[in-house]
Amino acid sequence: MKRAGLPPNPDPVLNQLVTPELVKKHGLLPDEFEQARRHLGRDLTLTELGIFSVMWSEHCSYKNTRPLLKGFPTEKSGATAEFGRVLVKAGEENAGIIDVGDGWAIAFKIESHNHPSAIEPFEGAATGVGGIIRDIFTMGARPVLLTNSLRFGELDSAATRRLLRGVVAGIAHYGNCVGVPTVGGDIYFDRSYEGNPLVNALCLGTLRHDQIRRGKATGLGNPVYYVGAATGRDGLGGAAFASRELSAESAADRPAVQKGDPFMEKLLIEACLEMMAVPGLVVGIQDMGAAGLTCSTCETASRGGAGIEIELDRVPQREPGMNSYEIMLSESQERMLVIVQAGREGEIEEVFAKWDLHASRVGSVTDTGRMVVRHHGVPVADIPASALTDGAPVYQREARRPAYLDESSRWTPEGAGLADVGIAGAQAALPRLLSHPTIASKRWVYRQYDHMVQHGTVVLPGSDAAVVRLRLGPGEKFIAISNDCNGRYCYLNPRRGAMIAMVECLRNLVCAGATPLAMTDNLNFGNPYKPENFYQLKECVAGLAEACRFFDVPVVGGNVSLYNESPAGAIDPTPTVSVVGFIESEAHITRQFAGSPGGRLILLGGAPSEIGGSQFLGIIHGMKTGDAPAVDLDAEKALQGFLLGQIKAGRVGAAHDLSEGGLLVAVCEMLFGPAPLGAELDLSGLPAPRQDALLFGESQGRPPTSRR
Amino acid sequence: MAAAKAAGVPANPIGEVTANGKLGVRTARGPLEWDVSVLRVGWETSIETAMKRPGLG
Repeated sequence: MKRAGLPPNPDPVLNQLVTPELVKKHGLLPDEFEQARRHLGRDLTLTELGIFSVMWSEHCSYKNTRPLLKGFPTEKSGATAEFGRVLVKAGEENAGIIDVGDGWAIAFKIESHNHPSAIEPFEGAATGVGGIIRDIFTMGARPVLLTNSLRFGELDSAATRRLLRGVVAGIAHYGNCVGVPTVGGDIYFDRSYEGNPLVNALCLGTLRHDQIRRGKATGLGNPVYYVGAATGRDGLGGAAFASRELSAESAADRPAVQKGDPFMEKLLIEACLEMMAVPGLVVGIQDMGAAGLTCSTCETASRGGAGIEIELDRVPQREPGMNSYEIMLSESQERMLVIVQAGREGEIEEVFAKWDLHASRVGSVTDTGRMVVRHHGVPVADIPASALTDGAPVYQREARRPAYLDESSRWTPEGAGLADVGIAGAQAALPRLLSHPTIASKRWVYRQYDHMVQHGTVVLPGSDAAVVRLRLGPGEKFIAISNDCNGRYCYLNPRRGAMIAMVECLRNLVCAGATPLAMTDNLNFGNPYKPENFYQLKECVAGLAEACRFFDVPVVGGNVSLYNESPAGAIDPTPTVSVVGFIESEAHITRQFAGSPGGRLILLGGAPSEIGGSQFLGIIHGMKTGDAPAVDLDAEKALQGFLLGQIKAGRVGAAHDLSEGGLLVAVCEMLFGPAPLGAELDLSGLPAPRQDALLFGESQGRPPTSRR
Repeated sequence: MAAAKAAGVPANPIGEVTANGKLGVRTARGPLEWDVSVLRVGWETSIETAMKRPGLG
């Protein structure tokens, strides 16, 4: 193997020998480093080591999850030529796109910013929102809504309160300033997330079919433009940082957390959409998100089967003396890479000048298949683009069923000697359940978000699903969106817990009057090198895939976030699911709030009968055990079809999913609407092996409804 | 109810919405009753109350 075949880097600091210690510090295994050397046929420079380390991180390469993700359905078998086709599939681009009829489509995706938020909650969460918005408008779509899925430790911890305060403020700051409404989300509080919060942000945008753009570099000689904010030293190596466990030393990784500017992003949205509206001007476009300039150049080149050469002197920089390593690995925000049709450079420069944004020609498309980077005229990296993308290593990790599952799956309340709840116990339990932060109103959170900007929000945060009116040219359509995942269930039964996340999300949409359309997921797990963690991941993916296939809901995109561990251990497995549903008519929109006195309450699906994995066990008895509630997909499909049919027929006044806290909590939430209401229930005739299971159990597929 | 039966979906009438602001529940073990407005206050203010306590930093 030859020594580095490139001339010395203009910055002498970067000419040091790449040692095994440096390789380890960059998160590459010795075998992976050897593989990188084989791709080059020589030793790597330090800049190239940085490039390989971020591109082969889990965050960018999915090296531990790619084989699993292939099990997800990516097409909708019930789609027609007029509605429901997947136009851009999962993994193809920055976000998936699905047809919603009349030549219109929606692009949506969820992505995590867990590690940055653990270190710098405000900036971490804010830039998570900014990043997911860019993933949407890079597809040519105008962002119209945001949601988020958050997980924290218990609020009795001052550290957790600091994280919650910072994360919510960061989301509110970015979303409110950029002018995209945050219409919904979900939050759980559980000790397993102590020190490692989950911050998953979703964005959805609308576009016409002919506005879809791709992240491909094609056309020999086409100019490559860098547009948006200047590059600084913030966010250095963020993708690699997100691909290792959090530790006591993680605070030292603060430079890996990016700084966001939502006002800059707003300008970038408008400039990019204006540029993309010019026929034939844009050949390809990609966000500079994780791994920044590195990822956007090699991914666009690889997708286009081309090469790219860039000159770093032309990259707008906001700090003096940045070297090639820093420029290539910076994750400064609000930047995009655009491949423009040759000869039309003046047109893009004019658009960006109008919006007071940088538009700098940094290079061009080549036919070499290589990503060549020059700095001060000297080549500092020369790598086959495909080596960084398709050539990344892929692993089949060892999976081992965790020992605790044997105990928890055998657990029964009778076997554990857990006395059934009596009248006094039930009387005391309900207020305690309702005031636990996981079940309690999230008003303190969503009141900080602007959920009305753009004037499309029909059902506000606080109901089973958000409903948004999409104004599409002269017409309008209604969509519903919901997030779900009960990590407690996934901990106790990974496969079933993931299925529950999916069916519960679908049920939420049906309760709102929507037909589920497509799904995006965010797989949040611990370190995959630990066989027990990988077992949880593998089982959860299998459960999700089975439910998606059964309900014909394709996965159109998503994100994987591994290494979610603090010194106390791994988080509960949390495969967050977000499903978008379509509402045929405004008259079908249904809320969870019982409208007026006299309404008859009907419980669909039968009496709840299980207590395992419930919030009642956790909050009242301090136990996280038992099996997750049973899921019967056939029964669930029948239930959801029936409920949706009744809603469409105008027979349902309110519908609400029975979930955390059980039946009495669900009924209370139906009563907590705009008007003060009460209810008189008679549960004495329902079959109930245990009162606690009937009143507070979380058996699936039991939505209480009220008749119109 | 008939439609649910025809669709093979279990459906049980469990009660009625009232205007009296009370949640009353008859169970096999006896009656339960709560003031809905009291339940609501705990549900609605729990996170806000917790967040009034100081966090780190």
